[in-house]
Amino acid sequence: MLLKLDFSQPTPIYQQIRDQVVRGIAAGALKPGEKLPSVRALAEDAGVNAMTVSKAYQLLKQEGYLHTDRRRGAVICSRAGGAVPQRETVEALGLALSELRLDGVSLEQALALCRSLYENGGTQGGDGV
Amino acid sequence: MIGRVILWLAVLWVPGLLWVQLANEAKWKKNIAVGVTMPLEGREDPVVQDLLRRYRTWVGRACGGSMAMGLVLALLPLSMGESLTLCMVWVDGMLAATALPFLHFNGRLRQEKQVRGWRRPAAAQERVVDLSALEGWGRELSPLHFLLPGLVSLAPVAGEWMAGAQVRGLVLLTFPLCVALFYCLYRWCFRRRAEVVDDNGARTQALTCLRLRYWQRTALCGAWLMGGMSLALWWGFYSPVAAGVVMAVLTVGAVAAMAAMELGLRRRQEELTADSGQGFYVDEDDKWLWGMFYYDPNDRKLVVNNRVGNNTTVNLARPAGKVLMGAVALLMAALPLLGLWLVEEERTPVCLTLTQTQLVAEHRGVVYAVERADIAGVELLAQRPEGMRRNVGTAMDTVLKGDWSAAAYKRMSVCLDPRQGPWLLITTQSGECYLLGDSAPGVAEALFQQLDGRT
Repeated sequence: MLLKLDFSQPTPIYQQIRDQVVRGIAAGALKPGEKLPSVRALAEDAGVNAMTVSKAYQLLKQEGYLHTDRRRGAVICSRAGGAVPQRETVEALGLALSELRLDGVSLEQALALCRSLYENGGTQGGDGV
Repeated sequence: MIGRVILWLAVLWVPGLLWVQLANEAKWKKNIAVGVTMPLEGREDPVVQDLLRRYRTWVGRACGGSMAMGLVLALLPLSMGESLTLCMVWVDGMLAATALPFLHFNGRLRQEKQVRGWRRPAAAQERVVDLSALEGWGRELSPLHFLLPGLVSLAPVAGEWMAGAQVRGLVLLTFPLCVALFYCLYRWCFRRRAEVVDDNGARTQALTCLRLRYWQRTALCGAWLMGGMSLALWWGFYSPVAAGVVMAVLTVGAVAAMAAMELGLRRRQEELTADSGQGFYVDEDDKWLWGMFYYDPNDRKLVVNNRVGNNTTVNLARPAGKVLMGAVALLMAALPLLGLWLVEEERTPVCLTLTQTQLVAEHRGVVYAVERADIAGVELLAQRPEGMRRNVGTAMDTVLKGDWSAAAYKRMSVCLDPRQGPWLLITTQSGECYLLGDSAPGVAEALFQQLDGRT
């Protein structure tokens, strides 16, 4: 799976890594049990501080997308969550829907967009991420 | 004369090698040619192909012209210092002349890319990482791989030190240090970064493994070259001509091997990415100034891999990168000064003087002073001793100086003008030996008479 880190975005790099890994899991590009590269290897490749990658991995671990194994390192895991979404997720979705509404997007269009994003793991196209 | 021939032979082939490498830049590897990334559509465009054809022509003219100019300069009847000055000016000029077509056509291709809408605006600040290709690149080389060439290069050092030739041992110690340097280059001057070209993970993995393998081969080739050179130089202390031939063969072989590896890797990169650039593809052109110099303030790494081939470069956005590149540029610009220094060495006469207490030979800051009270014997030699060999020092048409050996004298300090004999052979009470002379005629004879009268 490709990570595309955009340094011109205001979103911090650790957040971009976290978001793209979550999207990758949702899209099926990263499967439970799959090993992620070590913090050092990813930092070396991306040219960022190891602390940045470590922070992204910590966040993913806290959210239950990742667990660290002494032998295998960081491994993707399926989040043991119920059907009830987390409060932060609902708040973010609410904000995004409000913005769409203010942009003049109809409910039908918003639902179609949500369906498309849901089915494609958070991306509109099939661009791999 | 021989020095001048060796000097020009050592550099005259460089434009040929540059031509091979620069002409190869016109072939598409990883969607890049002449430092510009393009989609498959752009690569097949007739205007782009015409630009690449013209680039190759201009590279051929620049390299051919440089070589012809070098051949003419090599034939000029000049002294060694003058030849070296001219040669270094030629080297600088040749490097600039051969870089010009690359810079010009890189600009033209970028312009074409912009006009035709092949430039991805998001690419400037973007970095693409393939999560699946960051590990499993194959086996890394361990220090043990460098141990054997290291031991081979150490053997002559041990041999000379055991024979009591400390200076020669120190000279030969350069080679084991170079083996260690090749290990350090292998370990720390290669960025472990996946070679992402597009979203084809298998392609990325293959390109990454290839690159690491070729880098390993290059480092090992360098280490073994140093092992061979150490043995050859050791042999050279006893049989200079034969060892010189062996060293020349080793150098030519190593350059050929390195060039073959570079071109081999480029060919594989070309083959592996022949059909890339159809959907998503990585475009890092905005991070490469003129397609040559890496500048990315968002990248923390100092040493980065070149996009094509096997080389590495530095990130000019890092302060250390600026210092390193500046030092290299300064060094290249200062090359002719080396020749001017040699001209001064040639033109400064050797002076031999006798004071109340000392016999002093001097040449450009190098002073050999022998206490008169310490002199045990003086001889006036019309011929230089048989089998004189330099351990450390200078050997030019106008001056010999430094630490030398000869068949009859195990070790001696030399400072003389080889054109102007006879020379004074001084032996001290502590057993040290000096061979001294003056550039002016009659001085050595006059001093011999004064010293001989005393002894």
